[in-house]
Amino acid sequence: MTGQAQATLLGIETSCDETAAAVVVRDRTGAGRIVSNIVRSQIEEHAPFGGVVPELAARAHVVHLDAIFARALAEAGLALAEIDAVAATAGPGLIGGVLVGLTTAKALAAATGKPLIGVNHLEGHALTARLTDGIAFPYLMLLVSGGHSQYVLVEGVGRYTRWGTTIDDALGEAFDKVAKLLGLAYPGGPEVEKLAAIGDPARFAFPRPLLREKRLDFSFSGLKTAVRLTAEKTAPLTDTDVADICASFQMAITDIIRARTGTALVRFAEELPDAPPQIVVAGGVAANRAIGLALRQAADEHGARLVVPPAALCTDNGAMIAWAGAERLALGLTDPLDIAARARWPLDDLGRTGQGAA
Amino acid sequence: MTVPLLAIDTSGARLQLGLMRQSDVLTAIEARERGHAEILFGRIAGLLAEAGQTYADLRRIAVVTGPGSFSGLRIGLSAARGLALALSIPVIGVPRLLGLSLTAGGPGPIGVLVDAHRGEAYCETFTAPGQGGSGTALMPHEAARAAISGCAIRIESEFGDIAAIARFAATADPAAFPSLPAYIRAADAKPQEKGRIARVGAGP
Repeated sequence: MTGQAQATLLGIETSCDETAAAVVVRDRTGAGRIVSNIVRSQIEEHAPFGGVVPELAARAHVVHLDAIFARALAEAGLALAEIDAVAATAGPGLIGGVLVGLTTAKALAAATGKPLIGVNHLEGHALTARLTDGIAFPYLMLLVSGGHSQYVLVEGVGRYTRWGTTIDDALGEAFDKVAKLLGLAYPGGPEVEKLAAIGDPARFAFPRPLLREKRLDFSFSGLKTAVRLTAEKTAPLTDTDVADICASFQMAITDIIRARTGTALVRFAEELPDAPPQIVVAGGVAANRAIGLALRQAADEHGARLVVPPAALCTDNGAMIAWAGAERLALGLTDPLDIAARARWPLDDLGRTGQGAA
Repeated sequence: MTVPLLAIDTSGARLQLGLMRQSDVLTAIEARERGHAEILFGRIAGLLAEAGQTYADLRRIAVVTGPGSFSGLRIGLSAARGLALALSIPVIGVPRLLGLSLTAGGPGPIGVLVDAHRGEAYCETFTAPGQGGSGTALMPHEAARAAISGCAIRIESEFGDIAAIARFAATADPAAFPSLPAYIRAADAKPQEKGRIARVGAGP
């Protein structure tokens, strides 16, 4: 075990539309420090398509990744030889991109003889609050991004239990689809939020799917369809119509998040009566202020600590992968060079296998 | 000649590796439709051990840039570029059809054709093995066959000779052979406009 040694990790993230690399140090006490954090967004490449095109994402990753990790090392003032281990996202995500990052990481590890850690992207999000806020286990995580919407109980490194997930669209996806049908610019989430701020949230009564059920799953497909039907009925849309639709849609979302998070915190108190209630938010949608407010209300109502990492660490980044790698390395958890990239990889699988390389 | 050189070809349904020491090239070739990325580094380690070499001994990397399986090309390129950067050595990108032209046993012109599926083929003509390439083109299969019909030597194959590719790369100028993917075929992606709701003041 290398439990108490200081470690410097290079982290690589290529699972969606950010080409990212970072250097993170985990010290003897288990505290983390970001030394460099480089992200190249592909928003411009995908904007004409109104969404991430997997093949275009993979093509951009392979061209840009080596300059990105070289810059991460340069900004850290370190040579590759001074890194203790290389971590890369091994899934879940767009497989073409994951393969680029993971294969590059394997090459770096093979050439230098350093350990490789294939990180579950969701675990990266789940452990970020320990890097930024030093939060102790256990805690609840709400991950809301373009690809995921889930509540996860985090009890330790590799110990995750998913309490709820979306049964159809991810929350960020719902925002993007609404933006798209309203003809708003890509990426749609921030555009919807901007217009929602000036619209009338009470004008349209959109459904709150599953809200009366006790389970912690989400469903956003019906809501999205209701938005479409309303928009079609109201068309041609004025600027006011569009703002009102955005506001009413976002109001439905915040109601769902507030209620669902309250239910999750009640369950947390029931199942872990001795643990102080804590909830951590991750994912790009965490940057939405109305949703942040709803989470604050739910946390306050249930006397829970709410941790929202800085926006740049909520969206995809290399620092969270380097950090998750550092946490795993501290437990002696490394991966062989034949670890496979995985398009699908639920966090619960990590708990069952311990290694995450099932 | 810069050796030891490691050559990687993941462009087709095989994993092809070559390790050139002096004039000899050790090769490791196996049929592999998918999953090159899982076995790649184990096979490289095996080849290095067989040759009594380590990664630190390598002086040059060569990689087949395409066209071929999009994902396969990226696996080879990611591995080659990562190794080259970690070892501070150059990497030579060898176009797939140029690699195939190296198997020609006589003088040119040489016509090379690789099946691209969907009724299409990649084709290119060379004045001599590895020289005077016309640029890889994608066209209907019959047109490609016609395009190379006048060549003295015609090569229709999927797999280049990895030993010949290694020898070629050992003397090639890195600046002339960048390690960039040569997809030739465009990504399947079209801007999406459907499903948008009409706005006041917008066109029909």
